[in-house]
Amino acid sequence: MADRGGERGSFGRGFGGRGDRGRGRGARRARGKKEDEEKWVPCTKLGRLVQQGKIKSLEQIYLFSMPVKEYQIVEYFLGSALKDEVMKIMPVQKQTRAGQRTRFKAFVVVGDHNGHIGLGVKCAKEVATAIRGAIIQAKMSVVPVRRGYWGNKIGKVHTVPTKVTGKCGSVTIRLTPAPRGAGIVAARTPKKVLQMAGIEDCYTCSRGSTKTLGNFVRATFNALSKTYGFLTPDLWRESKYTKAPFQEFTDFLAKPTLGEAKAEAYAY
Amino acid sequence: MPSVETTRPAQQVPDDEEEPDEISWNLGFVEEPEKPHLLLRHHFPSKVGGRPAWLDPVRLPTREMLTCRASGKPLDFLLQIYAPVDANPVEGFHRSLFLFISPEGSRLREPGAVRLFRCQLPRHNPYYPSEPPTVKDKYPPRLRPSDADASRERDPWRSLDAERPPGASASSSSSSSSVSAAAAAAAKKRKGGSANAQTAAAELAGAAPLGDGAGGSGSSGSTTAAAAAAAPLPRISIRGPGGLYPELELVVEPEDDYQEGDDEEEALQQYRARVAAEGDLDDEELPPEVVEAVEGAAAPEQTCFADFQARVSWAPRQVIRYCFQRGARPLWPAPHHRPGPGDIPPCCHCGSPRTHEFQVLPQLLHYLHLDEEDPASPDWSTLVAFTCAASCSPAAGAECSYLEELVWVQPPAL
Repeated sequence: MADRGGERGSFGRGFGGRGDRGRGRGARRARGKKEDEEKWVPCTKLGRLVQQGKIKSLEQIYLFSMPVKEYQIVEYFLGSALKDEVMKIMPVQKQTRAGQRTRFKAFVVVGDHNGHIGLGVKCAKEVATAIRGAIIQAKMSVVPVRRGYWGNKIGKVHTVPTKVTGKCGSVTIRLTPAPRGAGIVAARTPKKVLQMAGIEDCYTCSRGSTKTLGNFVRATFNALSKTYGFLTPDLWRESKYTKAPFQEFTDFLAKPTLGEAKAEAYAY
Repeated sequence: MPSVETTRPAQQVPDDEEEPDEISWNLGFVEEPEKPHLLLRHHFPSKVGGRPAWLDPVRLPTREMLTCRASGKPLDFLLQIYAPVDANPVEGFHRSLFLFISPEGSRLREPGAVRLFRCQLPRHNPYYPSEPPTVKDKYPPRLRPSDADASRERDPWRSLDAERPPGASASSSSSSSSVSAAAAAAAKKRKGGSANAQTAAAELAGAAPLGDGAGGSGSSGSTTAAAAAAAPLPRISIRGPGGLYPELELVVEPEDDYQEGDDEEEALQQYRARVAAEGDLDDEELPPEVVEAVEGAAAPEQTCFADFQARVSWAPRQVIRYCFQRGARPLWPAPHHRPGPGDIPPCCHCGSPRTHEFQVLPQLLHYLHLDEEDPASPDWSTLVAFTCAASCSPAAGAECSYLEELVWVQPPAL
């Protein structure tokens, strides 16, 4: 849009032009992104309620089953314990009328190592944009993960609360509480996710045809979903709610890798 | 290729809404006004709350225009934007948009609950000098008595009366803040007042008696206003029927290009360090279909809102997004309830198409100090203004120089 004539511009700090800086207070905002970032301006009623201290916990929100929540709400309740980690950045080729176009897909996990985990994926033209978008998605989709003890209820919870089994087709996955120090027997990705959720020890074992990846995934989902706090999948209004990320997660929690020998002791 | 069953098909890689490069947005931010008199009409302000600073102070909107069609109640004044555009540089040398919302905040999605009026004046007009005002100009030029009467007759806010302090003489050299003190003091209204909105508005206006000497019709309440004039300038009004929103200035800045934040930079560095030390995750460790499944698991509402949040994070305090260029598309916080083809009819006055001009973001609600538990408090995902692309003028000699434009209300999610 052509710049408005200087004449009109001098009449007022109009919106129609290129952004007359008016009384020269641009510096407070235009370049002030850092200071802006520190202060959260809510953009939903829920966010305003949280900021006013009217909502006491994240779990209270889960009970309300709000379909979308501003990511800052999660930050507000979980504080600096909430960490994000980029698991992978993948180039993606997209075919457009103009030709091949490379974009970047970022897969991010966020968690507080204390019972909350979220996953996010975003594809964008630039890596930084993809990372930012994925972090936001991951924070928005944070869910609670219930944890328990292996034996004596001493110290902090550290493992899955109970043996949980998931099935799909001929595949059965079992997640089993493990003692402190047992560690997580799994490949890097599931191990990272479980750790960020605050699960430090867990045995996994599987039975049945592991060649069908899809069934493996579903079986794992079924097992994991049973660890959810006081929410079970049937309480989630699936038509409106984001599916809990674990529901779509992979089989790799039970994928045989290092530590297979240990797991065998618990195979059935 | 194994299939991962989901309840909705895995989403395609969504297109970033690719905006043409030449589209540039101006952002509006609210601020405490530097000097309250700069928000009066002769300074062609952009502002939120307070009383409307009418551009044409005489040929005002009718009562019907200022009534919520859904509830029948008088509308509350939300904001105004001064936005001359190139489409009509002569007749619209001055051009302002006035946005009103229903006092019944839960009904904003109903037709006629949010209304927008556009007013424009040529450079040479009966109300303002042809040269720009200076900071020292405290009061607008006086209207002729007949014009002033006409203004008061039509204006539920009696903005004219609030322009000058009580007892101000014809000279404009009165001392500093009494104009706005009287105006703002008169704006104080207890929430939940039982008087109906019309009466309440009249009471508010009546509390600031006429400053215009001869010819004005008398009004009571001068004592109250005079006492209030001495009081410090109140900034927050408690809103109730006929009440006013807190008055804030709207300042405009161009939207800067995205700058990478520290968070992303750090996350990227950590990723690269890990890859260097341990190697990247291969397809066995992180199967692509897992990634796709997670991507597809996000509900459309979440994806849309995440994109909205990412964009506004460039400038988190923005409350208005403005762009009158062809091809500008609003930033939608949600996928539901958006206009489809045919939902934006052409200008009813001249037949030109209506195009996007600006949108009000939900962040504005944060600055209005609402009682969130009051069901009458407004809430929205966004309000999008579509205006006559030609910025047409009303017929010569029309009694009202405010033309109604269209506001698309996207209600809040849930």
